[in-house]
Amino acid sequence: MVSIVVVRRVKPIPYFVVPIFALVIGIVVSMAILFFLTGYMVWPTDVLKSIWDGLTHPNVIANIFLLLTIIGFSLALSFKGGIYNIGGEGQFWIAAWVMVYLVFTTPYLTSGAPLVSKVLVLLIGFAAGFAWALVAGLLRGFIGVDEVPLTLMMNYVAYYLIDWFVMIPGMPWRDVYGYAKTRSLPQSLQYSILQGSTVSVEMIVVTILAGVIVWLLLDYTRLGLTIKIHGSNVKLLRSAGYSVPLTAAVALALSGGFIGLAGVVYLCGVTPSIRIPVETSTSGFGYLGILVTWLSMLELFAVPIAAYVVSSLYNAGFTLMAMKGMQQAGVTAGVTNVFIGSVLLMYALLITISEYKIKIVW
Amino acid sequence: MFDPSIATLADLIIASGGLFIAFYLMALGHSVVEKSGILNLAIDGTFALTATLAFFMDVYYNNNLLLSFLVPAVVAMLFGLFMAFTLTKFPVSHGAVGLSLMFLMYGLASIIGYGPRIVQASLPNFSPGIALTVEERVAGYLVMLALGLLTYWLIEKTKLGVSIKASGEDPAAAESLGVNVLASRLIAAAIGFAMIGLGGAAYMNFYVRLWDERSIILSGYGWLAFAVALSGGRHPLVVLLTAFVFSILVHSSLQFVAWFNISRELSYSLPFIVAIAAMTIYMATPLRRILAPPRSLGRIYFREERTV
Amino acid sequence: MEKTGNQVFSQTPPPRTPIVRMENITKRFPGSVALEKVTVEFGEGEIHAVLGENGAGKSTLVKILAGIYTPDHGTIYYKGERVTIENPMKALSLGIAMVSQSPVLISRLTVAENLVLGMKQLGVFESPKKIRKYFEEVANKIGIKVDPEEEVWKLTYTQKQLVEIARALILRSKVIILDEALTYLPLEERRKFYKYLKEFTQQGGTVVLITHKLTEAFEVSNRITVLRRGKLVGTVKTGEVDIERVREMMFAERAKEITYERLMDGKPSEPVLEVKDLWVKNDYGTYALKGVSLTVNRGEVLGIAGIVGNGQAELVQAIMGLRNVERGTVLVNVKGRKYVMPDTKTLRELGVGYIPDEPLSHGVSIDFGLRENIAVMPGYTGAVINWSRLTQLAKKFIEEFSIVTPGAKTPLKFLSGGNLMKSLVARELDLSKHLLVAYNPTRGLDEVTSIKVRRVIKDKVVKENIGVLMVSEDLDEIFQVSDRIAVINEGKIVGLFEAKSADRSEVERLMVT
Repeated sequence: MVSIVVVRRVKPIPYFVVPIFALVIGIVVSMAILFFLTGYMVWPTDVLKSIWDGLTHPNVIANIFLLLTIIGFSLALSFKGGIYNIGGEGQFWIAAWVMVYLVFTTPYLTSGAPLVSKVLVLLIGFAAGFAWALVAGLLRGFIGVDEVPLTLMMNYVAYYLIDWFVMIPGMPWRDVYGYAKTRSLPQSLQYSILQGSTVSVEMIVVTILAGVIVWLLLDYTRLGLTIKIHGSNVKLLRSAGYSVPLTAAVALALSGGFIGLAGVVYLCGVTPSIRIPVETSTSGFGYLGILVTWLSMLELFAVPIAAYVVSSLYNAGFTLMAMKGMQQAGVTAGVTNVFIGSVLLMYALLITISEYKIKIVW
Repeated sequence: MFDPSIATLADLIIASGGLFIAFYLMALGHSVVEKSGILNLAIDGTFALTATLAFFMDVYYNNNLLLSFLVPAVVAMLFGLFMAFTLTKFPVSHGAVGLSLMFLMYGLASIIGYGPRIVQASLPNFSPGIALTVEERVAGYLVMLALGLLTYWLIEKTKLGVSIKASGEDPAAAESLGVNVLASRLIAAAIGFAMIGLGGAAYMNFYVRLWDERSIILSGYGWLAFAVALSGGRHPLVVLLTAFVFSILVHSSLQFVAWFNISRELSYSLPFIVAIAAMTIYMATPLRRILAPPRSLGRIYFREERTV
Repeated sequence: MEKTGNQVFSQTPPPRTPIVRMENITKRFPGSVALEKVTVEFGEGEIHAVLGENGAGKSTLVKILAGIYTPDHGTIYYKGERVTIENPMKALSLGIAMVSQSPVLISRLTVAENLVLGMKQLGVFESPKKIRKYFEEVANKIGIKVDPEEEVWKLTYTQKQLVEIARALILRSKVIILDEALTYLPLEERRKFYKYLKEFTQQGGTVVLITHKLTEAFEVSNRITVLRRGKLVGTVKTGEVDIERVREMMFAERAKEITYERLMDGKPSEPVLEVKDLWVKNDYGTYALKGVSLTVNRGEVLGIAGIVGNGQAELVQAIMGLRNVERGTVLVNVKGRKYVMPDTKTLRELGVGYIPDEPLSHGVSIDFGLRENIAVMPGYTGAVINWSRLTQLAKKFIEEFSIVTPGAKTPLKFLSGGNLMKSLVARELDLSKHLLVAYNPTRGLDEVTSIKVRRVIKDKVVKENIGVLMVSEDLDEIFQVSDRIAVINEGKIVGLFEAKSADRSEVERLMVT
């Protein structure tokens, strides 16, 4: 009789081992799935080519890379606290929407110098993402509702509420020609693309700032330590006198705030209007971010690396489907989901070998 | 305009029959899975995939309902067995595995649905599934009640059920008491996920009877079933009630547009707001103690712990 | 060598055939070797005691036999045949059942449901109610009165232990392992039990008994195996040795250091903690404390003696603000100010230390190092953390308590259990400027370290005039450290004594209704 025995490891293994294996095996699994499910249309070599395409063309994926990096930092904050913020999508879009709403209903916001306006909307985005996530945070912290289905359902609520608001007739944010999108943001808010690249200075600055602030918060403040301890041992936190519910709520809310920055940056730096319906026009960065954060093993310095890889995977979906002529948006998103799912699954399974040794006994 | 009469209510109940069957099957299956201690975050993905598989079978096998229900149930069961095995044998995070399977299943659904969608476009008079008659809908309600009673008996009145409950309360203690936790969870997952699969197939065949991104993959109805199960305390008979309420609510939310003159998009958000409210009410009231969740739900099970 | 006259049962060993032979068993855990090449045999018809200090490996050895752990090397023979016991089910099928000191019954299920779980006689679809007749048969024999349809969380500790033992019998076990299972039972019950066990072995059964109570092992067993630091010291026939010899085997040269004599006296002054008529509920909604009143003065240690499960955990949690109080008050007096019902945060900020019952789960974060575990406590850092100062402090603790660790930053999960506990105690003692609330402060520590910790606590009491409320399940510890002793039973204080003049058997009597 063969049996599998699991024993805790005495010494940890270097932590890039798991993400790399997860990526490689996950991609292999995806290749197999795509090959068989598309009736042999998509070959493993096609998959590799499309991933390689993304990896070697940083200009193509640069925007996505920066956005995913910001989201990766934000999610690392809450995941380190043991709070699984799956509501990135909702926080992202609510922040974008609140910015659009305020920009078109309070003109004096954009009447000052462009730099001032840009900073203001970033703050607004942070506050909006913070507030949206705080709702979930309070329900999670003080009532104990599981944050995963909660934040996920709030994503749906966000999508539909925004769809509804945008399409209310006669509002100042409606697109002038009646298309299903909001009016483009005023020029003063739009980021200027750097010569010879696809990104803007503002985007790069916000990304770096987000990383630095999250790092300082986590490693050098009492709040950050509290969040980390919440993720490690909630009972210790309690017996040290802290309010556990409040810590959980703040962790989720702060995470939402930083994701709100990504929402603002998206609108100012990538595409200046929100297209309706949100649920089909979204690129799903809130979900892709989860992959980024996990692949980085919650280490802040690894977030950009993971973000780069994930952006290539995301891009690969488009490239692949264009190659094969299966250009339906659904299938493209589907391919990306197959990548995310496979890599994440391999990650979830392989992470055990970083803590435990698996023996076969007979 | 809205006419609050018994007749309207009766109409509503009959009309949402198909949806009730789908929600109840999913929620019941989900409850059985979770009673064994497995946190199932893959429910929405399972829903998307199984509804799509049912669609696939309908299109390519000309509405052969047997296949249309069987294949999704078996596929879902395989995923369930995988989950139960890895989560019990290895110290893996239930949430992480569940979510990754969710994404994977969304992806699979997108790709699998693509082919039949194109084929269906070339068959002008084809609709997947069947239109249930009034009698069939009423029968559906009764069949679900019977299923609920059967499941209740299994969980509460048999040794197998006790083993499943024990695995969900405290798997380490259960092992010491002689329970084969792995076997119990595999059985619970097989039964539970098969039911979820049947639920997805029921949704496609009896209710929505069309396939597109919005109605299937992006609908989030699996999460509504999750809320139905949770606020019903994962109790086979109480969940009948919560599934009933939700199916009426979801079905009528489309009517709200006409009745109360609200926008269509807003009506889409209502079921989710209610679901959040239902979960909150469950957690915030004594319900949480009376119909308590399994104590080790979602907890990583690891046998070789060090002692202090 | 003289034989002790204390033996209750006959010294003539019954004819023995080894039913279990564990050969060259080796087991490693991260950071330590629990067992190294241990060979031992258990015979039919004997009560075999396994003795050793904390960390000697006794529990690990029997857990391997019971299928909870698997050995890294070594073989197990059952009735002469080689077997692998990969899980408790396999052990049960061989007829090996284990009862440990913490009940393994599942609280939310009924007694019948718990019992039904191991029974092969019942089919998969049969009702748990069928167990009734088996249960009643055994229950009468060992004298317990429990309704099998009762949910387990409603039972007392004693009842739970007895149900578990009944279970071993219902399952027709041939080898019953008692891992400190009887240690917390009242003396009366223990005696009754040992009589039953003797009958069991006379019918050919085997009992493997782990206890740290040497005198009892002597009274009851036929043979004794001693382990020390994971290695076998030897197996002796109980009738052929005396207690001193066995003690020597357990502790070697260090036997002389172990003393259960009382530590120095405290110097009681004004009260620092006053508990008045406290009524506190447990997790299941029934009252764990029913009108408890006590006072802890500065400069003294008030020891709370009692069988585990009589409200002690709820008492310390309520005092520390970690559990709701239904009625009554908790008062803390610091620097002339009276704090009524202070919350956890206030207590910590004032300088009240807390050694919780489960140090791993409540007291430390094993993912982080000592310095983070200090930083999380109020009073050690402001909004921005100064790591260099905290690292210095951590190093001070490491030195003072001889904590074996690579450094102040090393995550505590890489430390051994004993060193973890030392880290916790070091921090809590530092935090205790006025009061220390301690529950089993030396759990998991070996004898030498335990004595040291108790000395440090008493020292601090005398020199810094703090008060200490110490709950302990170890009566020796209570008598060694306390100035006054209170006995708790079923949520009430049933006795209060001056430790110096207290009569131990009276205290024991009060611990049992």
